[in-house]
Amino acid sequence: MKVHDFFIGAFFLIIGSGICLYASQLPVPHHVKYGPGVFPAIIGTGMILVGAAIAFKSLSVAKGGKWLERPSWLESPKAAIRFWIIPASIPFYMLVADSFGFVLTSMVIMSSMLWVRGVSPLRAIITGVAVSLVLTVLFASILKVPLPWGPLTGISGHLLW
Amino acid sequence: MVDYALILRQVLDPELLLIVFATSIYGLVIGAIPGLTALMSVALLVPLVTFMDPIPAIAAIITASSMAIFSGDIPGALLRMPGTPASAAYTDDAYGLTRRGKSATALGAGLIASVAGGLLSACVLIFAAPSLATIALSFSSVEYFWLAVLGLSCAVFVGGPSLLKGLASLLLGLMFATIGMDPVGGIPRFTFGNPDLLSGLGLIPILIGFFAVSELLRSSQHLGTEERVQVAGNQSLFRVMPGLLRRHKVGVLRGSAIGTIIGAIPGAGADIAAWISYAITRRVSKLGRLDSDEGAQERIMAASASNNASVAGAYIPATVFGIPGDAITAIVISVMFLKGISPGPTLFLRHPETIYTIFSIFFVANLVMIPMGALCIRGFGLIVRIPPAYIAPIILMFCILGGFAVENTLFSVGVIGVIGLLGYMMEANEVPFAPAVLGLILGPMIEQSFMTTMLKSQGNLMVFVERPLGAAFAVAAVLAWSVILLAKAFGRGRPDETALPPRGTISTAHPVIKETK
Repeated sequence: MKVHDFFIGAFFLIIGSGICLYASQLPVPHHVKYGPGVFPAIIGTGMILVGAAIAFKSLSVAKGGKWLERPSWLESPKAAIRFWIIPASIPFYMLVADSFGFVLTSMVIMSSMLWVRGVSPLRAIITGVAVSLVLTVLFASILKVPLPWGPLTGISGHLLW
Repeated sequence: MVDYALILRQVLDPELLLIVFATSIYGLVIGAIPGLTALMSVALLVPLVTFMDPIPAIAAIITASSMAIFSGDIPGALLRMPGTPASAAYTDDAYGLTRRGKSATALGAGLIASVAGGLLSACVLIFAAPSLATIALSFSSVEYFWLAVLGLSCAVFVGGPSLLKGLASLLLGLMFATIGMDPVGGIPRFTFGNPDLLSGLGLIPILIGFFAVSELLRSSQHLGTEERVQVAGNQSLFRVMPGLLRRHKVGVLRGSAIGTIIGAIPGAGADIAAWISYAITRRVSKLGRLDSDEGAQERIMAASASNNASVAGAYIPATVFGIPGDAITAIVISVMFLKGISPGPTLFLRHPETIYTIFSIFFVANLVMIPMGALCIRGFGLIVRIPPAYIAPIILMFCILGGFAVENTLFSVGVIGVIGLLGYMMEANEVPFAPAVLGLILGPMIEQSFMTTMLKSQGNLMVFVERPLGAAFAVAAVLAWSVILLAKAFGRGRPDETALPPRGTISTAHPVIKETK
């Protein structure tokens, strides 16, 4: 999604101002001259200057581009789902993984992602299940990553060795 | 005294060789799939290597990245789709040879030049790194400060077409680096009461977000290609390679030298090495100037040697100073820290066997590349048949697991998502990643060396230029910025974001330098 350079400049300007404000409120220990806020303040000031320069340049030379270019995922609802399912899967995983466990959560994410990408539902489910089990064996059984099991805790002993 | 027998035993350890073998297949497959880069192959390896011993872990990274950089040539030559951005420079030349029925020549040239480039730069690494390390032993915080500043300046310069956007990206990376406890007093910054933020955002989740998740978002609409592949049989592959190497040895040597130097410059990686080597070959080489098949071979071999040479070149600053030459060595450095090895000059003194074993792995990996690369060329038809619809969901699960496995917190899974979206927006708006990544890695080093120097000197800024070495580095940094600004003012030699347009494919992930004629 491409936006006008003015917004890019404004983004950095605002973030830089926020950093400077935050840095100015950081406590300075009594015995030292330079506190933890010095370095962030330098970065924040730099961001304000660079952001202002980007914004100014985009307006003065009129080559900042369109105000907003329609991204390819806005072409159809299906395209939008194909795009947003990726970032949406991550908070979904964070919310659900602890209670439902890795295997089940991964099956849901894999299968639904395959399905929206045009794979037939049956194939999507079979692949989702198979890949989730392989990943579990690889990460939980072999590499000993403490993956959550959720309702499958009871049978986890069979898969962990 | 270095125990050479121990190094040999460590390199020829069957377990290590098995890991090299397995990761070579992995790297070759990832590199051969257009849209999946060498860096992505390394980022996705991290959750696996964190559970290995230090040397096998680094061997896995070296092998996967070298293989992926080579195998990016294969779809470039056969489909006109570079598998990784590093192969984009000579894709048209290689595809041209394929269309004239010489795919074995195109791929053989790429393979033998990659191997030669990798081996030559490994030699440079072995001979140059220890002497540099001896010099680095006398560095104080001032020298490290200037070295880090130099690294960041290079990163901005090679970052992309807009100097301002490169700077903005750099500052963003530096800002990410300040999240967590401050390196001097341990006071929490930008944590907003969240205990997960106390130790910072974590390099690996950020790299996975930038280089894997954002790429998934960008290629989310790419579900398949109708291309038919004419797979090259490798009957003649082994027969053409020796002749090619003999005829183009000068080009390969020049490409390897350029690649090693570019690789060692922070921020510039394999893709830039290939473009620069390609452009130089076209201009200065008698053979490289020709539009014939011979000219195309010279250019392919010079650029292909260069991109593989840059892989080892990046290990020079990484192992000697702890300053990564590119994002792959940034991962290597964080894996080294995870494993209790701290890169830097003292590593050469205290654990010379470890460091020489790591360097020797480059020889093993590059020699293994000859048979494995030939097999991959033969099996490329199978790789193309993997439907892209299946690849993205698997990579996403690997990203989630990668974010989780490194720190064992759901918080870092969230980080990869947020950074992925941020990276997607940055990429779409031509804000380059490389400066942000370098800023993130070098940020703590800059801040710590700056603050300790300031505290020691009680705010006297002159201390930064008092020592002769420090002053020399300061002059170099000022010179670097003068060059950047002069180049900007005269509009010459600037990297230009014009990617090679592969037909109906996922475009390559990084900005590339357009050849200037």
